Amino acid sequence: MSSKIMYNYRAFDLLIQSELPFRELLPTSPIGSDVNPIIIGFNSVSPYGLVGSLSLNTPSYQATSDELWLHIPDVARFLIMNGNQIYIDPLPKADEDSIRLFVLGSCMGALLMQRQLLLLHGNAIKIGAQCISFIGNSGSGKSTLSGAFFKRGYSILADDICVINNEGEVLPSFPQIKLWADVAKKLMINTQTLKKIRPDVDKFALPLKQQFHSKATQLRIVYLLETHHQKEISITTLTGMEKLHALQHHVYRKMYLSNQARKHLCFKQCMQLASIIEFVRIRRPIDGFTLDAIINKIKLDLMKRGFTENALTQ
Amino acid sequence: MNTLCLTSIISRNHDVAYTQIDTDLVLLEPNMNIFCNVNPTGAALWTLLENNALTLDALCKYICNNYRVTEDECLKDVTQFVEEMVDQKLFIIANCEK
Repeated sequence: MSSKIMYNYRAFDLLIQSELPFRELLPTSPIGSDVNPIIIGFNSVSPYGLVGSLSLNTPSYQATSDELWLHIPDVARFLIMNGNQIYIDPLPKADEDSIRLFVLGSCMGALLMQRQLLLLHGNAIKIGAQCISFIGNSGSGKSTLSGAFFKRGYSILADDICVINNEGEVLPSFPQIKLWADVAKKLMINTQTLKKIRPDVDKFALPLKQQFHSKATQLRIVYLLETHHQKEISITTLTGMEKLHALQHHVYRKMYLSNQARKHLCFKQCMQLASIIEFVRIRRPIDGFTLDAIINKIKLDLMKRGFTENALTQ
Repeated sequence: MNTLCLTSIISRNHDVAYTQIDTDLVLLEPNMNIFCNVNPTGAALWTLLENNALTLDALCKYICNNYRVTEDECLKDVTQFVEEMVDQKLFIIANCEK
């Protein structure tokens, strides 16, 4: 009989049972409707990759239709299988913070994609009874906006991986946002009591506590964040194919879509999402703008789209 | 390839995924080719064939009855549209009786 302690958590509407404790995740007790939990455990993972016919093959990741193998130098090899298992094989110099970071990011992303969910690289913030999502390239300001909305009292469903089901609802991830040191300073969030996400990275984990929204919520608007060389903040509504191209471009870990069938499904899901959400492109100056100015522009835009003062006053 | 004639029976390729995104009708063919139709008459014909297979003649009559176009223009435009759609494997010609 196994003597391993398993920790139970709930994230992405799934029950997770893990050998490794995760302070980032919401602890839970299994309930009657839980079937087939996600299992996260330590196991040896081949240094050579997968056996069988590979649909993806690079030095850092390989895939077959049901498995993804990941090699993260100085951290671990991971094996993500069948949308319900993650094996962790730590490498000699690994620290636990880095292992947890990659499990909750790339591994969980791969697992959710194996479960045929649509994942966008972005956050999700509750506004009224619905939510909005900010997507964009690295450095575009997604985390800054997560932090800014948090500071203003809004509840957050997701920070990095925005998971959307077939009904167009964002599934709640886990109660943490990640903030760079300089962003935290700008937002006047004290990092002294916060833990770094990885030893040598100046990014901090901020627990959301009561400001984590743990129910699946209808996604209403996606905001695409970009920068430009002009001095103003511009806001443009995108429609039709433009919407679709932008959504598809910002799918989380697109390179893990291991075969034609998965790419086809992902594109179909982007099409369906594009048909029900509003899509807005925000272009901000690279320098010389205030966070307040962007938030105010966003709030004005939300009011134009029917969100009430009540929903916007936190 | 079948030659298109008035009695050709045209149906949709039901392996094509489609969605109306604002004013764009977007079609996704199984091999990942994406088509976007911004022409309202094209979209109307796509919708008309949702649960039906219809002859080219019937399609032309529908367009003539619902849009301001002459019969000749209608035949030319609808034929061209159907040929393009067949070419892209979005429509299928079931048979052609001469």
